Amino acid sequence: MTTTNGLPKTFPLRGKEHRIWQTVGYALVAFAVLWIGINMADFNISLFGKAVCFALAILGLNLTTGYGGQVSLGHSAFFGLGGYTTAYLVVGCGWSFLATIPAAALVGLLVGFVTGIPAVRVKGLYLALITLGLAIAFPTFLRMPQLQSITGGASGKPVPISWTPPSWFPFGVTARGWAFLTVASVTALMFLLASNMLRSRVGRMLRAVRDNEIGATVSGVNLTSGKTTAFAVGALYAAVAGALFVLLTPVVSPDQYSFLLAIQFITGLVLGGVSTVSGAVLGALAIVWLPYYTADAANGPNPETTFRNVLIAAAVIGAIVLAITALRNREKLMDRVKVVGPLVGVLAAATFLFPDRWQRILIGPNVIFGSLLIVFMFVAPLGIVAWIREQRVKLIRFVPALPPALLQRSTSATDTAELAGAGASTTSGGRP
Amino acid sequence: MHVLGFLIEGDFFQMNLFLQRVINAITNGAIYALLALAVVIIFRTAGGLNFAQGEMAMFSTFISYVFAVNFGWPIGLAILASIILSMIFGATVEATLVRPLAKRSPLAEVILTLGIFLILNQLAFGIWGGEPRPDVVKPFPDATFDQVEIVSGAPNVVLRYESIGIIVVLALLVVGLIFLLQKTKVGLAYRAVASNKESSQLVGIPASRMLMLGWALAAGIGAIAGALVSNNQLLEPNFMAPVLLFGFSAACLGGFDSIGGAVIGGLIMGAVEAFIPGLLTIIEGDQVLVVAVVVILIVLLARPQGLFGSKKVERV
Repeated sequence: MTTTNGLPKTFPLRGKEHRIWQTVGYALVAFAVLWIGINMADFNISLFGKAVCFALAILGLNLTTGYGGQVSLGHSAFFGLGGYTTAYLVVGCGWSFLATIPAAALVGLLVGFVTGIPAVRVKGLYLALITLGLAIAFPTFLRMPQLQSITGGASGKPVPISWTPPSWFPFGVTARGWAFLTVASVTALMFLLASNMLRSRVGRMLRAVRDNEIGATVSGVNLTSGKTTAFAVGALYAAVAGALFVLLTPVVSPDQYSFLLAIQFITGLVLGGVSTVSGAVLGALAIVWLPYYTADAANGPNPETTFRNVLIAAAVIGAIVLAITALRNREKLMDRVKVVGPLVGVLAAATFLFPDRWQRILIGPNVIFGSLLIVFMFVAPLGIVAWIREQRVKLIRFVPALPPALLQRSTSATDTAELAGAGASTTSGGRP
Repeated sequence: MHVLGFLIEGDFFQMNLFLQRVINAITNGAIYALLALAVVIIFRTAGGLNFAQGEMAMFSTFISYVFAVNFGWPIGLAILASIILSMIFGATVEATLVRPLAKRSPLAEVILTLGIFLILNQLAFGIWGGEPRPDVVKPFPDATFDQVEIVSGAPNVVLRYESIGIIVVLALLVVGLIFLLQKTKVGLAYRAVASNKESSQLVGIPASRMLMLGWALAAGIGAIAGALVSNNQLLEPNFMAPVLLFGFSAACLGGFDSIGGAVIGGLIMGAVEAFIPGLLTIIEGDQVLVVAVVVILIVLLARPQGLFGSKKVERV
């Protein structure tokens, strides 16, 4: 299976072909979004809209925590801040909805910058503690009677926004569908900006600070600006997400932005993938749709079937993983058995030994999220997307187009492929 | 006083009210000190923070509730059983989940304890419901007149039986803990691991068992704290969250690796909770939480090792 240089034999994909596949992928996503907005029922549109907003917030968390390496448990506060900014400007000042988004972004940027200042001195666990405090204190702060006129107090503030599709839009679409398409367009723009930013000087600065602070400083990165930028940009994204979310749920209240929301973002981050842009979408879809399905199962007549399906799936996946490990890397086998064994055992026990009532409790969304967080930390600490990439590197290799001068010199195409392949295999991954 | 009326409550300096606030401060402070102790005991050996500490305490309080109400056990026995169960749970979590991840990164451990937080919270909601339990059996009497009047007067100063109980429990626990850590062989081993894990392993101390002991002790102390909190607060799945935040800020203030610091930090946080709403009238009700966060922020920025903690030196 391996070539002479020790790398597994892979299918090379040249620069131009890669571009084409990429464009096809983006077109499919755009088509899917349009299709959801136009054809789906309002209820499903709302869930997808929520997922889109959460994806943007998780991307923000990823910029701070995944790329910047600054642990944040407080992104629910930034998300809420964006929501309240929009609510205040729309209801209190009569702004139009779209105009409030840059304002929310600015507020997020400023507050994120201020939150980032402690990060300059405080690291890791301590930073987690400070941001945890931010997440817990934020709803309490919103309830302060002194702020009643701005925040609407404990009961929250309704934000009626009339949002009807304009006449130039060629497809028939409901108001909700149009709101979804608006949210999705802004989100797509923000994703594009993020992925470009991450390839720029700023992105490299964030990663350098995450991977090695001293190394980064030696290379001329200003640590203070690196860390505050990580927070400021991450908070900006979360605030924009919160502002967009108001269009879909036209009310803001302190209870929406509790600490549990911050943990949901973290769950989405871990599931989708730390340090991946597209992982945010997968993670958001998971945290929005999983509770929906599990609630279905929990209220259904026979929760045991759900457990049985999950058990079968887990057993099959576990068996495949163990089989592959046994073939490729015998030394790691016992480590994998230690993880897979108890997991399948616990699931089997839950399926066959627990009565219905317990099974219903066990499919509660937070039990699932909590279990997934723990399982992912052991099985795929970098998330689904990073795992898929790891597998893809073994099969497909992207070969960037060489500059013309080099292209003339290289005698055969295989040489250039080897050159590029050796480079590509080292670029995957990052640390959570 | 009228000049400062917007800041300080008019009767803040009234003697009896002041005394009453001091007593309340010590009572609440004792509970925060307990949670801070739990945080410190884990931090000294394993070096992590357990964000599920509060939920673990909440869950064990519910367990003691089941023993006392559903099984009809005497309350002391029920609490003892819940303490033992949570110690076993804590040790199991450390051995099976925390230790394998400890080498990874602080984020991995944070995420792990958040996972435990979510699971325990939802399980408690599923099993016992979100409504506060009305039929809790309390460890100390708390009827309206279960109190000693110290100073009589228009606002009289009273010492409630539950305050006495809570303070006595804290004192006994601290004495017991100091005895365990300073006078026994196990305590010596624990302190050796806390001071230098690698060296202590070289002289034959089972370091991993000490880490388990740390988690077990912390879970047990958390269970005690939960039982005490349920004495004057309604038992429901979220009832430990604000208490834990105060516990964290107490541990932070005292220094994450100092047992004495945890106790003093807890008492200071109790004072903060009792006096700030009187001193700054714009802060009322649960907004004291914001003050707890501000305390964490100030301590970590100005003096990261806390009042009594040892300064962390990092080798580069």
